[in-house]
Amino acid sequence: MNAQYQNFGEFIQRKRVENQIPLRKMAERIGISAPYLSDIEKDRRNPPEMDKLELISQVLLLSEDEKSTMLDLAGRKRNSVAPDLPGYIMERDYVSAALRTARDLDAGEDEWMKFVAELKKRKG
Amino acid sequence: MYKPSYRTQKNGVPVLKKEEIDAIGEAYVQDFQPEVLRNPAPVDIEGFIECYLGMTTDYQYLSHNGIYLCMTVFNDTDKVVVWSPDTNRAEYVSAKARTVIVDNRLLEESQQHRYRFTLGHEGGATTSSTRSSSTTTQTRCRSLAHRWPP
Repeated sequence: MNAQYQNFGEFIQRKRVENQIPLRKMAERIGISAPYLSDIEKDRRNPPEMDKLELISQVLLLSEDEKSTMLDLAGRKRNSVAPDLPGYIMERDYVSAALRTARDLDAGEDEWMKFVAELKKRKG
Repeated sequence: MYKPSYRTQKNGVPVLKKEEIDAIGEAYVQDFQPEVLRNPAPVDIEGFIECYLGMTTDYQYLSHNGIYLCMTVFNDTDKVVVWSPDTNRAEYVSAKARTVIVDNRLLEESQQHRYRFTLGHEGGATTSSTRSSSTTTQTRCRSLAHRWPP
């Protein structure tokens, strides 16, 4: 899905360069140290917490799709799901049940895409 | 982007008079941030290094005692020696070509003047070494070359 980016750090660095924001200025704007951001960009350290990811999204003027990509990459780096999802899943038992059902029935991408398209159609 | 022209030795080392270095520096500023030549103001040195020259910055402890202020990596390498305060010993990190690694100590508020001068110095080294760096992996700059005020 995110084959164009090797990892979370590369995504952040490329978007920052596209926006012509020097590393230290970017670090100041999201409230972390320049060495920490540098380590993140070079894939040496884990992504920051969700509040900082929201700030990064704002500073880099990410679209909704780009923000989703960033969160997916952040989850992958942490060997976990995207950090915006655990809260949603934990607050809704039926989501966990649906995910387990999909897993047990080996639901594929086509089936999930159809489900998502149906949801979008119903919600406008 | 401005491209200076100058004589070089057979090994690619530029041959420049002091006045020529000044003129090249001014031409870069004229191209990158011309307004500061009319209304003196600090040059956006990080913008010059990262956005204009297209270099990558990194921040590490380059030594245990601060003797090295910065270094430029000319070719991709995974053998940059840095000092780790966590383990109190030297370790390797990787860096891509055209990376400027600044010593973390220069990020302290009291070191901002050295930080700016150091970035400018590395930018100058990079713009004048593009033809002579094919076999050089990295260069380090010691603090004595940057002491300010002199």
